[in-house]
Amino acid sequence: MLPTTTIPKICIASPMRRYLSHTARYLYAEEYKTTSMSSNAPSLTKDQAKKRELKRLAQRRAEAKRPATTSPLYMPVAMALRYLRAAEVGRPQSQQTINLTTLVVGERGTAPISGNVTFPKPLRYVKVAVFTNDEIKLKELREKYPNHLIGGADLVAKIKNNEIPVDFDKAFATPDIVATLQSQVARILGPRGVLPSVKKGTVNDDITSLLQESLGSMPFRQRGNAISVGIGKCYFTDRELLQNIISTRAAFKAAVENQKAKKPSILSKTTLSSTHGPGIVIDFA
Amino acid sequence: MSKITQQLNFLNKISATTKLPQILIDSKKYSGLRLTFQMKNHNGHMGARVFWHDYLPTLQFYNPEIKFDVIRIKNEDKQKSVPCKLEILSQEGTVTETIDMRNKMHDDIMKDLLEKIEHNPLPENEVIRAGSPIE
Repeated sequence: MLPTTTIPKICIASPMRRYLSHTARYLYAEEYKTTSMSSNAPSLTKDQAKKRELKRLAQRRAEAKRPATTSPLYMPVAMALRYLRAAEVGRPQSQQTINLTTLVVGERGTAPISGNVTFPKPLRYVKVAVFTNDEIKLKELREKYPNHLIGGADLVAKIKNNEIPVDFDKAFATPDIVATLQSQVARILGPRGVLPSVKKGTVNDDITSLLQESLGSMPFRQRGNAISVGIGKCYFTDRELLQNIISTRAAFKAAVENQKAKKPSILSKTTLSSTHGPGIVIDFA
Repeated sequence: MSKITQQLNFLNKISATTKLPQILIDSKKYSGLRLTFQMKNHNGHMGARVFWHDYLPTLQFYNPEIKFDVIRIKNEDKQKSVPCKLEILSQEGTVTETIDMRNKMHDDIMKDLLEKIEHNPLPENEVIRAGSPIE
C-alpha cells in the first residue's frame, strides 16, 4: 500500500507504480507467450532430437573415417604396450589383462555384431566336455584330447552323482545322447550354461570339426556402441600380442561382413587398454 | 580439463614428469627388484606403497628388461610385524642389497635406491612425451 501521509512520497511513488504495473503486464504477456509456445514444444523437440541424432551419427561416421594417427592419444602398438606394462607393474598376473575395444558406428536398429576369435596365443586353455555314445568316436577323441572330459552315459551318471566337478567351459554332444542329458543333468549343467543344445549349435554328429573350431576361440559381442575383447596378458611378448591383435582384426572384419543389415556398421576408433592402465588409440584399419 | 588432457597427464606421469626414477639400470648386472610390504598402511608401510604407486611405473617404463616383483602381504593385525623391504637382485637371482622401507617416505626410499644401485641417469633427449609426435 502507498503511504498517504506526505504528498512528495506519493509524487515519487505514483509513476513508479505505474511503471511496475506496466512491467507486470509485460511479464505476464511474456509468460503467456512462452506457455503458448511450450504447448507446441513436444513436436519441435522431437524433430530436434531426430536432427541431433542424425548430426551425431554423421559426426561419429566422420570420426571413424579419420585416420587413427590424428588422435592425440595415438601410439604405435609397441609403445602402447610399454606404457601398459608400466601401468600394471607389481599387480597380480590375474589382473594384468590387456583388452582391445573398438567403437562401432551403425544405424539404430541394426543387429549387434558378434562372432568368434581364434587367438594364436590364447589367454587361457578352455576345458571342454564331450558327450557321445559312439564308442569309436570316444576312443578317437580320447586319444586326440587327453586333457578334456570325454564320455558317454557313464560320464552323465557320474556328473549326476557329483563324482566329477563341473569345471569345463564348453560342452558338446552328439544327437543320440541329448535326450539322456536333458533328463539327467539338465538341472546341473543348464544354470552354468554348459548344456549342449541344438539351438546353441553345440549338438552335431561331426563333433571333431566342432571341437577344432571352438578350442581356443573366444566369443565376442557388440555391447552398446563397442566391441571389447581381452587379447592377452602383460607378460605375453610383443610378438604374441601383435599376432592376437591381427587375428582379432580379421575376426571383427569378418563379423562386420557377415552382419545382416541394409547399411553395414563401420568400425571406428580402437583403443588398447589394461586393467589398471590408460586407453591408448592404435591403428587398427 | 578435458578427458584427453587428463589421459595425457596420466601417460606423462609415467614417462616424462616423474623425474627422480628416470634412470637406466644395467640389465646385465641386475635381474630385478623385489618389494615386500603390507597391503594396509599401518606400522609404517605407507611409504613403500606410495613408492610402488608413484615410482615403479617409471622405472619399469625405462627399464623393460628388469623384472619388478611386488609382494603385498595381507595383515589386518596391528600387533603383528610384517617385513617391509626392497631387495635388489643380481643377474644370478641372489640378493645383493636390501633397503628397509619401514617408516620412510617414498622420496627417501627412492634416494636410498639410487645410492645402492648402479645406474645411469636418462639423457634429457631420450625422455618420451605422450602427445608429441613419435618418430
